[in-house]
Amino acid sequence: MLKVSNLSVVFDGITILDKISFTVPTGSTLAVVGPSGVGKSTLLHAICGLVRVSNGSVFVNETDISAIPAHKRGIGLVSQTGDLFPNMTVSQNIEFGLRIKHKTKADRTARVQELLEMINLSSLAHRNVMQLSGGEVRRIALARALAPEPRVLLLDEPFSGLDEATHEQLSKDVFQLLSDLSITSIIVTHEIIDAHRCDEVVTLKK
Amino acid sequence: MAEYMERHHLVSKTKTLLIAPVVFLSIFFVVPVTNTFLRYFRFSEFSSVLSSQPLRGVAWFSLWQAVVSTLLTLTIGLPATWALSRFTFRGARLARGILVAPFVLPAVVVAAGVLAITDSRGVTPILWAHVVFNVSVVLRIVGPRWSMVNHRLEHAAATLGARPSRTFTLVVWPHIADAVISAATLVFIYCFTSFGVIAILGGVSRRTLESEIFTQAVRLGNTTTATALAVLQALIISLVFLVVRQLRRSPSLSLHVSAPQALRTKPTHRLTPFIIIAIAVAVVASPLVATVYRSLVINGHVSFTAWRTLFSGSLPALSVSLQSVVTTSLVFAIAAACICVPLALLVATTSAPRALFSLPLVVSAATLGIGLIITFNTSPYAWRSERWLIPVVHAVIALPLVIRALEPATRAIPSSLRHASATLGASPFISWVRVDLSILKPALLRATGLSMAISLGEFGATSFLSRSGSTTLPIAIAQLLGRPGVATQQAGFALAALMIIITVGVMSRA
Amino acid sequence: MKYSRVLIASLLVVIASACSSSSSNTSIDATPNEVTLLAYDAFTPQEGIFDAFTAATGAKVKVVTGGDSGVLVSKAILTAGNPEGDVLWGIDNTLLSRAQKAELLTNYEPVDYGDICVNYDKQWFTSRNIAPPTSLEDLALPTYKNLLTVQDPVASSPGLGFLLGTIAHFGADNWQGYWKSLKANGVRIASDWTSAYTIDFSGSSGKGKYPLVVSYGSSPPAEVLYAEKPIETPPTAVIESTCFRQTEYVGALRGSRNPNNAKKLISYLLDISFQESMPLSLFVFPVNEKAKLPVLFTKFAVAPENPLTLDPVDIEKNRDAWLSTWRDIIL
Repeated sequence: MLKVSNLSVVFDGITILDKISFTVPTGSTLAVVGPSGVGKSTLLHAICGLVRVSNGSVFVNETDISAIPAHKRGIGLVSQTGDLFPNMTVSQNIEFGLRIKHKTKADRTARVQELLEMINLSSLAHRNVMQLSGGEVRRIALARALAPEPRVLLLDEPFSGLDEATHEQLSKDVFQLLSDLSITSIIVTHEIIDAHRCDEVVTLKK
Repeated sequence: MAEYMERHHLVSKTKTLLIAPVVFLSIFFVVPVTNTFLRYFRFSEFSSVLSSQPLRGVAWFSLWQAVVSTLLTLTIGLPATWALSRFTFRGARLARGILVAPFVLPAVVVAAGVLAITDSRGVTPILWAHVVFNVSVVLRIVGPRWSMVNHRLEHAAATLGARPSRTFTLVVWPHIADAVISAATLVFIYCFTSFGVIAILGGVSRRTLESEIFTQAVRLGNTTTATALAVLQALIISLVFLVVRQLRRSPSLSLHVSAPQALRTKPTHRLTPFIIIAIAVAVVASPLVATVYRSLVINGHVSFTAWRTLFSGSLPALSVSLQSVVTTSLVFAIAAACICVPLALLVATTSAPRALFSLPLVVSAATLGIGLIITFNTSPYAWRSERWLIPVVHAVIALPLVIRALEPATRAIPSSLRHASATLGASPFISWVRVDLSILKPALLRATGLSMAISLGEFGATSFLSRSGSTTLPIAIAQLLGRPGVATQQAGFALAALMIIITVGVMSRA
Repeated sequence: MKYSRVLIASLLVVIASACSSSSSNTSIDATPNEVTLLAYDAFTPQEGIFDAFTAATGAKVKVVTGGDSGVLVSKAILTAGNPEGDVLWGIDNTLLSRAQKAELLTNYEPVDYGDICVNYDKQWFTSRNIAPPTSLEDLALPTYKNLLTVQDPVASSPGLGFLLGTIAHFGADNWQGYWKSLKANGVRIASDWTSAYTIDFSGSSGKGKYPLVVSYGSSPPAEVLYAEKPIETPPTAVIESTCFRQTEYVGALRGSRNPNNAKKLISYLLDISFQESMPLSLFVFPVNEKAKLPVLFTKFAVAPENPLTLDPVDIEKNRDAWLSTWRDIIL
């Protein structure tokens, strides 16, 4: 369960987020919508600890994680651009979080395989990430974020920039996955269709 | 098919692009050096050098002090590079200017500054002086590369549970590794072939191969011994290059061109960049501050006499005015940059093997100096007393460094941009001018600054060249400091301080 | 491949030119209205001193400098027979033999002289009520422990001069013992004149810890001429008995293309007007006995009647051995 309470982010004197509060019940998906530039991405970054919060707190399962550094929060992020590590293959990208946790090679390989099957891209295991299409990049970024079993998953415009057919397919697959895994997630989107696929919607206004 | 054409196109372009740089280096470097070698190398002398215990000791000292200097430089320089390429804060520009400035300065200025503080000669002052000079190399070569690393990759790694040190090892290091190795190699070579610093801070017992080459050739008149030592030095450096080449990873990842990003300070790091920069600046700036101090304080009281004399235009005891010294230095620097930067750009654009263009690093300055005098002494190329030979030599010496400084930028231009330009109707040359050059502008500016810097502070190879009436800044400073008379020496320190202040100012803007 | 072709072509050109001999016509000057004087960087003649020469001969004097006297001689030897200039200024008695062996000069004359002597900081000694040393032997006494800084004779001309002075004074067999005692007495070895005089020495701008330094007999007047605020007497003085005579020569370079003007220039350099300008611009004594010395020099510069000297031939023969013995003693 994720709770955001009176969250404010001020940077260089400019208030980007002003006293945002909402709760996401465990296992459900929340859509965050709003016009461009209103701070949706900043909200996600603040929740996972990549941006300093000026006021307010973030709670995961009743624990205040506001003071915990980003790499210890257990909150996964799938960014808009995928941000796959260019010096690694698809498998190496996906298993990154598992390497950090010092899982054995066997464990890692098994989990990577499992995830690749989940996203239907088993054939790409040893592909160089620079040669992937947009849709493939998103799926693999998602798999990578899911691999270390985060408690919360944040997705920043996961379906933008794709053609309609790919968008539709990816959206269906992703929501199915989130529901199967029962992961608490927040999705930033400006597509109404995707927002409606979520359990709840929160709108940010300027 | 497209790939084949692309490759073919690139290869033929390579050959034409390289003509000018190759001819330049051949005439002004390969030929003089080969001449020296042919005339003065004797294998018998070489083997007696190898079997000489003291000379082996000199070679050993050159090696280990260079290794330690390099490690120390990286220890101070890499964190500082990180801080400066990732954060912008008030004073960052000035800090960068301070850290980068010493490269320009003649060895006599920095060494005198260190000596004024340590009051002793020996290994520690030598190491300190080396760090002062070479932090700049790390900043210049690794900095641009580091600021191109996509921050979002680091974010991704953090959300996947990687703490900052692991993020660095797994995500950042692969992108900067080549640049760091390149910088480390250069620093090693500069420290290994260190001359001015050793001459002043080495005392009797500490000699490097380079200073020994000079001593043998000039002080003792043993040109054969000097050449044998130069060959030994060149062999060692070549070995280092070969070893480094093994360490280098496969051809670098093509990074997306991103403008240097100003990262908002993260909570965990808020003070760290400041502390790192403060330490680096303290280490590098203190000898410089000592020089400025010397120019202002006589007999314990502050006095502006030296500075007043300086700005009145005349330099005590010298027959040149401040104006002519500064003008000469600037003219040489600009000329050197005009020669060096275009040639370096041509080389950096191609993926030609770097071996030939790294040669000026491998061969000692003294050898080049000797080669220049004995080669260009008959018409139609009796150039040795020609004034323009000086900036040419500066360009030769600066070339390897400037090429390396341009490489990250030229390599990072994705071919897709050129393809786009081609589909819009531009010929390859126009594409290059309009697309590549405009992207390269900041890198070119930096490269120009770098080659001017090298020219301004050069003292080694060109000290063999005679000149009439064109005294440069390092020579003027050395002359002023080299005469008795408090006013003269103060003027020397003031001139050195002036050089420091102007350099720091210029480097903060570059 | 492109590289090798260019390289080979250039090498061939060089070799070809090296084989062709340069013709030198000795009876006519190649450039009658210009004569080139090669000197070291520190050669700073009085402004306009060559105007009279130009007026008399129609030839302009072009001063070409590069490096110190050691570099100068080395370069000249490397280019012997095809020199960069016509007249060479600055070979001193320690380098003369080397120049002669390489047949650098067609004729040469002494043009100036000076001495390398231990200078001392007057104020330092008077404020502590200690009498300054008066001889080389004194320098090894415990009273003067840790007070002397000298330069490395391999790299520095005054350093070499001082070493030769000790050899001249103590003899070829005993100078080693003297240096051992200097070492025991804490002598500081600087690598060059600059760091010794401007940093170690207490009597000049450096305010260092060493009140005794090896410098020139003409350093005290320089301290007056280039003082921060005008002073009457120099803050330093010279220990006369430590002075080693350094004579500088000027000569016409073999193979120069303007032999006639070279001769004329040499005469000019030995003539009164130039000789009288030398003390305050070059800080050396004129060889021309008719030349008058400036007041500053007569009062404060030192050039003893019987300085320490060594035969240039001896110097050349033994220098390498002496230097390496010195190194062994000091290290």
